[in-house]
Amino acid sequence: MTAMSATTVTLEDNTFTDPRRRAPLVLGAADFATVTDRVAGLVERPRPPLGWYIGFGVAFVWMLVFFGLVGYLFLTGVGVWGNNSPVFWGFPIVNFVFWVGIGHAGTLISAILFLFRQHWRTSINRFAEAMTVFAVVCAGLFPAIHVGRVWLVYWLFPYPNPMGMWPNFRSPLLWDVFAVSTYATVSVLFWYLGMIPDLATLRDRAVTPLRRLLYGLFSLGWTGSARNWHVYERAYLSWRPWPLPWS
Amino acid sequence: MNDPGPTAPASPYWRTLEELADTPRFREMLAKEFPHGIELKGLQRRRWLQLMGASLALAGLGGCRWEKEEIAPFVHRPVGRVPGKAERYATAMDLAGTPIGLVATCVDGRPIKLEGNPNHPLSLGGTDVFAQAAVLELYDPDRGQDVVRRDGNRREIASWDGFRESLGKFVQSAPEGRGLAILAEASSSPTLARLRGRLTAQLPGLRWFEYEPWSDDHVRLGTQSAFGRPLRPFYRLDQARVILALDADLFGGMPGSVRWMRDFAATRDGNPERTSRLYVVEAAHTITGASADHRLPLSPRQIALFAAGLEAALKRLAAGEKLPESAATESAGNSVKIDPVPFLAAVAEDLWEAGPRGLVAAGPGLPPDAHASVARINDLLKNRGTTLLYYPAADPERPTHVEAVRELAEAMASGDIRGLLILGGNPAYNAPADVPLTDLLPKLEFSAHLGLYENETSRCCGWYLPQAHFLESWGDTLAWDGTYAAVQPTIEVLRNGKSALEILAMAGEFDGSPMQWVRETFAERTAGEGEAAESLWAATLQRGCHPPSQDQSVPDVAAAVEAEGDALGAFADAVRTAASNPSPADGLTLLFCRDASVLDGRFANSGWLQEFPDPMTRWTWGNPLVLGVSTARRLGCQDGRLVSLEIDGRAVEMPVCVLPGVAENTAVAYLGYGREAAGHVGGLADQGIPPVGTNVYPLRSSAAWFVRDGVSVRVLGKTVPIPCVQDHHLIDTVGLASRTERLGELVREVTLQRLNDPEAHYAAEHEVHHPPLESLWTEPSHDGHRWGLSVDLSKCLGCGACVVACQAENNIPVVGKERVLQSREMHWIRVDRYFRGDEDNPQSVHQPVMCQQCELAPCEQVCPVAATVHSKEGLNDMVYNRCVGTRYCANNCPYKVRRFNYFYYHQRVEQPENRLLQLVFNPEVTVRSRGVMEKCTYCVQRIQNAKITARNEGRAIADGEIRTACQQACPAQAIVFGDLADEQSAVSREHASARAYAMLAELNVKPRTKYLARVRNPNPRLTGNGESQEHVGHA
Repeated sequence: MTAMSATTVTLEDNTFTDPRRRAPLVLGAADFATVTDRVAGLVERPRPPLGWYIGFGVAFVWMLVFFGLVGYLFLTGVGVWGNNSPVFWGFPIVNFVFWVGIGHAGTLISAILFLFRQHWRTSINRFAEAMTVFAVVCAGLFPAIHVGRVWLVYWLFPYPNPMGMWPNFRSPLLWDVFAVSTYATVSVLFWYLGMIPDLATLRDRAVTPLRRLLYGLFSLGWTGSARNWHVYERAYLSWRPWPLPWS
Repeated sequence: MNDPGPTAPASPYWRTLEELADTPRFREMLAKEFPHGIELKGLQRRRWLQLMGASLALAGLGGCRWEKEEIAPFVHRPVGRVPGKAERYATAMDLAGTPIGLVATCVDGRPIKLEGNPNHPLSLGGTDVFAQAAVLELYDPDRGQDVVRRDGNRREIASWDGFRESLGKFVQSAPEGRGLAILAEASSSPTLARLRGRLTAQLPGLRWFEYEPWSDDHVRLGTQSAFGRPLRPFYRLDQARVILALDADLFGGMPGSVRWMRDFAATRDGNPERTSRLYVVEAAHTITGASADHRLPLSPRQIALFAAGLEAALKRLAAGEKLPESAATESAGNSVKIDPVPFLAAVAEDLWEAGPRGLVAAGPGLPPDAHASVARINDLLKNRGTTLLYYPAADPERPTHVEAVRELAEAMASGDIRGLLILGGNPAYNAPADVPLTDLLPKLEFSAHLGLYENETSRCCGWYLPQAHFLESWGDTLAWDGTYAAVQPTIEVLRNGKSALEILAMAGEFDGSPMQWVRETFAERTAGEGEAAESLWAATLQRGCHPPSQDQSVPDVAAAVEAEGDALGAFADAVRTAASNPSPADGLTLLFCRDASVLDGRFANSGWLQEFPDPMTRWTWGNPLVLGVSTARRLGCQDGRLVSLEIDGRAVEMPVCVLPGVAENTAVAYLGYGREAAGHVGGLADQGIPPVGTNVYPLRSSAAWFVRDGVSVRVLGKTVPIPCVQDHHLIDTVGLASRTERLGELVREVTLQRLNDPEAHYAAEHEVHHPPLESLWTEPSHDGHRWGLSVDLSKCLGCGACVVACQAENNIPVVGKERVLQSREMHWIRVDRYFRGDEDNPQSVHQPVMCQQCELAPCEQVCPVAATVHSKEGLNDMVYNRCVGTRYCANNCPYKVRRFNYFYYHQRVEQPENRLLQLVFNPEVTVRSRGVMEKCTYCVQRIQNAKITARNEGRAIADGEIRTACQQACPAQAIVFGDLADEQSAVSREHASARAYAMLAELNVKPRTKYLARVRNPNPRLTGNGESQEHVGHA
């Protein structure tokens, strides 16, 4: 124990670099079980707190306003944005770039900081990845709703059709479509990949059959074995540079 | 980004004064990326819905379901009628007494497009904007539909029978027509004159007055005093080598402008044998001034003195004396100020050297003395028969229009006239301010107004009678040279209207029909010609006109010689006085001009014309008070600033437009705006629709009809947004800097001397140096035709007929003032106007810009859905139903010629009450829905039609067989279209010219449209350092 005392560190510190000891992942009065209880409890509680309802309500109202305005836009024409000639894109492209920028911030945290081994990112990782996903959704919305005839926007995608028409592969806008779709796909996949062990935890704790089924489905048979973790870490690392070119 | 930084290399060209001065306001405008600080205030749809749209909406286009439609096919198809096949009929339009021969294109019995009749001397195939817009007027749902009876404030729908009865009763109560008068608008119709003769023979007491708010009465008075009889000058500009226009807007406001443009442009192709030199001395800045080789702005009073001075100078030259020599120009910086006195001497000498090839034309606004002076000058030049012809003026006995309307008012006030029939026009709106017709008309026992619209005058009269449009009634016109042209109806009467002929017949109870009366007139006129009446009539209808059997020009009548005073000295004194006193205490001189869009107000309800930008100010939807730069600076007002114009206790408020080149201390006001009973487009006070623009007729008195002195201008605190399209289509300071660098290259000019100097090896395309151009893409190959276009900047005089012709041909919508303020106008052609040099007297250039149909089109490369693609014939096709509206093409277009349907601009014509407007659409051109990009197509529908016809007939398409709408309308023949694959075609020859250049060729977009550099033919005595200016644009 004397040897131990020589290397004793305070329980509040998990940043020491003594290779002989594994740094504790949980500090303070908590242990793995209480942390898991606390985190999973948020998801498992029967109903969210009042604050959530208020926050969700405000966001929902804004979303309704947004959909109302988009509906007005669709019914009236893209002229409502005040674009003119030659400023054909003002408002939509500004919004697109704004949201793509927000998404890139999430990518920075989740991917670049991961590659640079910045472990402090883990505390905000999930949040940042979610932000990326939703920001990309917002960003992708604007190129879609900026077009004059929005009901035909699917023509931008290459899909087999009776007209025998393909999009124009020389157009940078088409590559925008590809870039945003790929970025969105990769961001969603990465977000999901990171969640798999957590989904498995929730599955294991699930008390209702529906939860068991759904969490079971999405946790992809995760057992938490060392082999699982090994494959998972390799996959996580190899996936990680993927979103970078798109950002 | 918002800071323009150090000014880019100074280009000689600028578009607006603010750009030239780089004012904070201009920077702010650039910074905002909105021309005039428009905020997004939600949608002001109401005004927009009121607008006249252009094009159809085949039922259901805008919605997701199709409306049920009944189709009733012919059981027996009329002989010769092929459904959907266009037919052409010759007809003619009379505009304030000036006729123009037209050919109406009718599809399924409805006229949709008017072209000039090449056989008609006042058209020669060209048209002006008014003729182009006439079809829209025909289908205007605001046109009067019912006979209306008014009694005080009561308005009730009556019938033609009721009117006939009421008229009959009044005529019976007026023995021999005493107490009855007719107030007619000017008309050249021989049948109207004949019926008038019959009616006055029947009712000797009937009094006939003729009134137009703007006429050439001063020309009549001037020739009367010079020759003893009123004459009508007819210019042969194609024969002239030296032309002086004294306040004469030959190519814009003056009657006959279509012909004058054609003749003048024919001499401007750079051929040293025939290129003319045009001097313009004017107060306003008109397109004639913009076309001049030398232009001198003088106030209207000084111009009259200039005429007298010129006469004196020419007399001296005729007597073999020399004129005093002095330097004509004085250089200050890079601008050249012209000293008027030596300018006069130089012009006099140039004219004298040209002799019979010289010509002086005077504008209707000059006083009669000046016209007499000009008549004598032309006599001194002995140009009769070469560059100038005189024809007898119509109705030589008639008083001037101002006198006529005053006499009428006096007779009405004294009770001599108890009943009045008004045939057309709108005198209650446009009579001189001191003639109180609006007060006198309601007091009459009997009053009736025949008009296309129930306008201001109709509302003062007991009866309103809907007038038949000229496209739906029989009539005839007589050109000045005696060419007779029949007005053929092309459609059944749409709105229950009757023509002026029928009203006269009603008054005189004549038998017959308008066609019979017209045929009788024609038979009388051609009685001596020995040809069978029937075949002659048929031939006339087919050709559209019948030339006089013998030359009707007036043989030599010597002008009375006026005693000589020191007119030269008087002019010099006047110029000196004006120069020494730049701000006279007695206020400004106000000049009244007819408007380039609404003329005298008669076209106020035409959306096409309201949205047509004035060629010089480039304003749409309204009339500014136009001031010169120095005057505006002295008054302390800028573009859009509201001012109050005051005289004799009358005041009107209007915004200012600062136009470089307007004479000092002169303000120009355009007539025809501020209509309160024009219609849903032009303004309808009783339905709460505000008038467009400001009515300046209240400032116009019978004593000061064209020019009014002593007008005071008070600058108000408010600035209004400017519906001016000149500054649209520029983006930010980067764009500005880049454009400034290129401007000398967008517009190219050459002097006649340099062009024809074999040492100079002039080639316009070498003005821009660029490395060899290599293409990123495989260039498209071509089989068969390679369509191409050329625009001769030397011939283009900026009139804008192409803009409206294109609108009529291609179903281009009208967007309205709010949208114009947002820079969303839809015209496929814009006529850019550039200035260069001195801001008080700049040189100007007009440049029509439409889609250049690039071979390596930047728009095609970026469209994600391949909605704009290259055809095998080199056209840059727009596939409307593939377009999803990403607008990337427009962003990538270096010429900014693509137009986007931000809204559904044709919504108005789908409303039940406006469905009549659908008839104006060209069925061969898709009506674009909202969310779709559009642009010039080189009139692809005309190309296809010609190809089909040629294939059916088993022959090749002849050169010149296909003409684009802009080309066909162009009075100056500046636009040539054809097949570049044919080396002999006219367009290939134009493209091979030394003057030909492609705009922005250095971008390697390989445009199919080429411009021909403008030729200037300056007088060496007046050039100063003009030669050095020419090279400024050289990169």
